[in-house]
Amino acid sequence: MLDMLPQQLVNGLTLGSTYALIALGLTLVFGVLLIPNFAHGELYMLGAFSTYALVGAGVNFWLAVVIATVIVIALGVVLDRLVFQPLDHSSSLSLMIAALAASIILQQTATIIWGSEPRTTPSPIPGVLRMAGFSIAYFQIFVIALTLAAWGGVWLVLNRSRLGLAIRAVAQNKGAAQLMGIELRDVRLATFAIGALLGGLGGAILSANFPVYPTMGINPVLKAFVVLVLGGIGNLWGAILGGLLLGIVEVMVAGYISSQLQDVGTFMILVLVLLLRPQGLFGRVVLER
Amino acid sequence: MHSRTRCYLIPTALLAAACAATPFLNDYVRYVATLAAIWAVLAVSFDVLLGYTGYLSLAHGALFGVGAYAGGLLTSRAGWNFWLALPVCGLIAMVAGIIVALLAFRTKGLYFAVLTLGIGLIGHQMFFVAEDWTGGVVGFVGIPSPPALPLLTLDPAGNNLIISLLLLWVTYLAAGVFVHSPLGAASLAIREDVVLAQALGIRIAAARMTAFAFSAFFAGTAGALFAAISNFVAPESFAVMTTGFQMVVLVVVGGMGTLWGPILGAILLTTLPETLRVASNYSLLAYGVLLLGFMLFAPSGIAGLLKKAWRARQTRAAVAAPVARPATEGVR
Repeated sequence: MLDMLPQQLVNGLTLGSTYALIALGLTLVFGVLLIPNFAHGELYMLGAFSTYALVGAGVNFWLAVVIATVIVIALGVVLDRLVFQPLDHSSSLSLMIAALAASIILQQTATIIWGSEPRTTPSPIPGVLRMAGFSIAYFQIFVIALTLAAWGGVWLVLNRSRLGLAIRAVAQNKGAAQLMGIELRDVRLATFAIGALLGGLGGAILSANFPVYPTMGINPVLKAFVVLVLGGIGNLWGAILGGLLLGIVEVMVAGYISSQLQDVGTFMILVLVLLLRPQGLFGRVVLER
Repeated sequence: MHSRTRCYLIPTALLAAACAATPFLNDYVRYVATLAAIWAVLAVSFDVLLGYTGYLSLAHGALFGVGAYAGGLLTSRAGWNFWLALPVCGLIAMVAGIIVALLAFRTKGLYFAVLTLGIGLIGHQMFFVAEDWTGGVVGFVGIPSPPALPLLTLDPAGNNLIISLLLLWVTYLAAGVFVHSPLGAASLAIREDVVLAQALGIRIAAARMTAFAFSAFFAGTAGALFAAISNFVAPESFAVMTTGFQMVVLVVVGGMGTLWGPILGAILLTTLPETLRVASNYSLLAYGVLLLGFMLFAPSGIAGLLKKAWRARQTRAAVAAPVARPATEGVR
């Protein structure tokens, strides 16, 4: 029983890093723009499908990832322009319903284009690293590294660039930011584009790790919302830690209790955190509303 | 009191008219109308929660399923009478709903939606897991049809339609009672501003819990009736992204915060795909597009559009005599 523990931890970390990667984009868009972007999961799905289609057409995997990410960024910006900007002054309920609608439209469009059967892309980094207590695919090590790199990249943009300063200013106080001469439209565009980039890149890379199908985005985005609750909205570090924690808990529940209860375990955590510590597990919320 | 009486008279008259028309319809029309009525029950009761309190629940697809499976178990395995099973299924779904609500009302806004979405997904999964009770992937077969109504000699399709219309009538009247009660007024206050409502001493917990329990009860009865009419249920009918999502679409397209709007939404969205013969692959896409379109361009739904047209017409009638002003909007 316990000799499985190192392997379970490693599995949990790999699963958790994918949650963290998706949560990163979601927490940014939600934290700054207050958009509950259910369709983030569909951006992830479209990143995966674009990569799948490009690889199928004979494009090199890494090039396909780049192209797919660019496609998803463009789609994300269009999504914001068509769906969320017109509702800028509406209630959060309207935004939520519109996001849900956008999410369904993208899912169903993908179903019509590609059908609903799952597809797979061969892993670009084959091979498995075998250690004493566990083994891990090289590609999974890459995914963990990518998640950390994505976190580092977003942190650098937010804290070491003029754009990041503007984004943080808008997140803190829209009105005051505008008075300081910050162009809200540009900040919005940039934030949404970064969010879409993270979602699209995540999907593009993970298409080599998970089966690709039109509704593949629902579960991860839901987990990412749980991660947001765990980590605190707009808290990047919280998103990473929350994602890893969630992944580990899920794998433990599946491994030691029952695989059918994996998702139930997730939502028990969500409920417990909401009941006991609504501001998130990891300290105070950075961008408090 | 005049308008209050009208609230009860108009639906009753419509019910009588629909029942009178039933013998003259063919079986296909009856079947579509039956489905529309069941969807309308779901939409009206769901609107009491979404439209009146402003809480977006995505767990109702699963609550509909709880009612459906409870109906199947009670009538086929336990041999209960359908008329007894129907309200009991509502109560079972209501108890499940209250448990969900006790957890979910700890949150609000987006978190409420996400939490109920999660609960909806788990519920859907449980229908697969609890194979002994639900039949799992294969589905639950052999659910007896609703019994023939006394005094009426109708074939099964007509009988189903009248039972569904009766349930819709009961739902609508009950929703009217709730909405016009102090709890309904409190619900509206919650929708507009929770903090202000609390500050004014409005007991928001009781109001929103009643609204949730109400919607769960009727989702359960609709589920039991749906199961009896279909004779068969399978988990795919109760997924978040199908039924749970469709309830939101019906209410938003019909008009949130009115009781008759969701009925129009249910009728329109049930009959449209049938009459247009759209391939079923496209129906969810069409639902999504409609939902988004209404959200962006007509957030108050069909009911809002009709009200606007009606008001414009009245204004025109009042203005028409002295001034010949060109009509600018709302002409149909």
